[in-house]
Amino acid sequence: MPDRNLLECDLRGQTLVLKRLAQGASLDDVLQTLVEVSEQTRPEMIASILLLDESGCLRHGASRRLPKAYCTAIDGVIPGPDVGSCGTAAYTGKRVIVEDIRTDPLWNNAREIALRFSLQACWSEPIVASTGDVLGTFAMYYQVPRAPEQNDLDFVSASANLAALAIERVRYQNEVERERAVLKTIVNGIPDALISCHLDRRITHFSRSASRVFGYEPDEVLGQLTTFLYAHPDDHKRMARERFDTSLGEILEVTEVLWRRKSGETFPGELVGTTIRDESGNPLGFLGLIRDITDRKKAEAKLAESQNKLVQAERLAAMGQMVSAIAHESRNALQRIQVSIDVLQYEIEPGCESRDDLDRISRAKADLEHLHNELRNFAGPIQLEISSANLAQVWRQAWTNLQIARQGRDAQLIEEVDGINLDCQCDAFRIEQVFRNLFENALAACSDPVRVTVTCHATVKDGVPMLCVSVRDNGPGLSEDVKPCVFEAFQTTKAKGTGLGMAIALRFVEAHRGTIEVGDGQSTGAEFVIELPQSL
Amino acid sequence: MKRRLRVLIADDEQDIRQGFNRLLGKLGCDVIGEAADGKRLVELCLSEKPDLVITDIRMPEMTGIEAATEIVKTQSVPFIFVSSHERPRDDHSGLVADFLMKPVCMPDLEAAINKACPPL
Repeated sequence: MPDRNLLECDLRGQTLVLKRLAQGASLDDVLQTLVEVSEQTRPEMIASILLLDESGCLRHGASRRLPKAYCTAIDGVIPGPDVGSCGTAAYTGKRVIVEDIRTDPLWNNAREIALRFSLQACWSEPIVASTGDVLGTFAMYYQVPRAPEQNDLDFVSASANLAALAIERVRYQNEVERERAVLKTIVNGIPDALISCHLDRRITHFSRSASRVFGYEPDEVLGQLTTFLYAHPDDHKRMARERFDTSLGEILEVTEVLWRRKSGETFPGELVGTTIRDESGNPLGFLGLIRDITDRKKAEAKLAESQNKLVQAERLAAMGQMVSAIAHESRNALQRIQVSIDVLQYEIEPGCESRDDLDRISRAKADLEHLHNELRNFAGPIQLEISSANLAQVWRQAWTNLQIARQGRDAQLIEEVDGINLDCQCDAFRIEQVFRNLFENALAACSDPVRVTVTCHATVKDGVPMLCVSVRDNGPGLSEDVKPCVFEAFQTTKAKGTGLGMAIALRFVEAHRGTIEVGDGQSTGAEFVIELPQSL
Repeated sequence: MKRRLRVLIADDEQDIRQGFNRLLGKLGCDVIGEAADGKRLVELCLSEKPDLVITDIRMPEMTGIEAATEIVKTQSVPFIFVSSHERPRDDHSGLVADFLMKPVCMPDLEAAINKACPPL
């Protein structure tokens, strides 16, 4: 074959090898192709590729015409200074040309087997990586003694280079694939939603956890802008400034954002957002890790609530001690005022100025006594005096006792109770005070005509029969600011009063193992719903 | 004519004793003695044999309840307790005709007396 044709054939063969490599063929496949194209252009030549394994032994890499038995025999050879052509080439890192195996001392130990398979010449070129490490050998055998020509030397060296390229390339690819597999395992193992997107914030990856957290399948969201994941579109814009801006450095600080699931439900989530960069620092896209903190938020709220309750309880206990500490002295003082008033009422005739003064003293004493009673009800010890009572009679008594407050006003109590047994075991006096408080508030808040409606129905809560009483008025209702703190002590919308009324109502109802709550707002006026167990 | 009730009163505050003394007079009772502590109340009960005792609970030497417990051993007499504190938890129902929390006004006192010693 003329040199030019041979060169063309060699180039065509090398191109085919590169093509297989580019197609992502396996290393075996690529090396096998290299052997095949080599043998096609040089029909008398038998090609062999050996690869160094991790333990430093030469292993069969690829061959076509080399006899199987010979391959098996030389498999596992350890390179050395005089171990045939390949063993020596791998050891020295230099090309080894053995023109005649029969006489060359390098083959002293392997001559017999080579000759048995009629192998008489062997030129071996080490396959050297870009790092300088020997990866294996590319060898050309002939069945007659033979010396290489220049084009043979060029060929063996080019083939070894090609083999080095293929080995390095495939090993690198395997490394990348392994890293990818590790990364994928990590990504799938992260409980947080992991979402990556292009620099224009269109989604490129939506992890399994992201699907679990947000409820979307990846194919529903890939290529979409991330806007729809945010509960508030403004947050999407805000994150563009605070996290997803390529001019920002690496920020690993967690920020809390409200998100929206596919179901429309929103949830609080912690976001770690950063720019994905290549090794030279060029931005490739953005990465967001979102942790659903709904459960934690709930737990925190519960903790805060119980801490708050604890603080309240401690405050109440402190107040209770204070109330009983001052009870003795102040009640004795009130008693002295009381007896003096009572005595003077006999001595000062009604109608004169002194009698008016006495009445004023009497009213002031009554106010002080009332304050004292409120404090005692709020913070003092509670001992219920339980008896059987009809709840309707209890609220009617409360209404009747407010006769003076209702004087001159158009106020009516409307009962909507249909055939319900209103018998209930309770401290009638305390429950009457609860109703009295509600009625007093209604009278204070409503302008005439005042209509207070009491409805009642029986219910069962946790297996306990309860009476559920709703008291609603036709006033302006409770404002949204007031609603959450209606039962807090010292909360009042009235100019006068301690602001203890509803707190006391709550305390009395809870002492009965009942509940009192603001109604659900279906009526325009204020509504309170009391639930009391029918028996205690 | 209705017989006037003979009443003993006990309270460690003189102003209160004096006030009750004058008020009880107007309610048709004779105050036959005043005690500033429980011990004195026991002595007075033994010597005066009252129809009714109106006593504070918290007093020096002996509380109103301790005094009453002592007194009922030898005589039968109703007690009206008047106190600044909550009704005691222990059941003294055998002793207590009534329990009033201070400040006690005249109508309340009158009602309690009529309950303890119903007019014949």
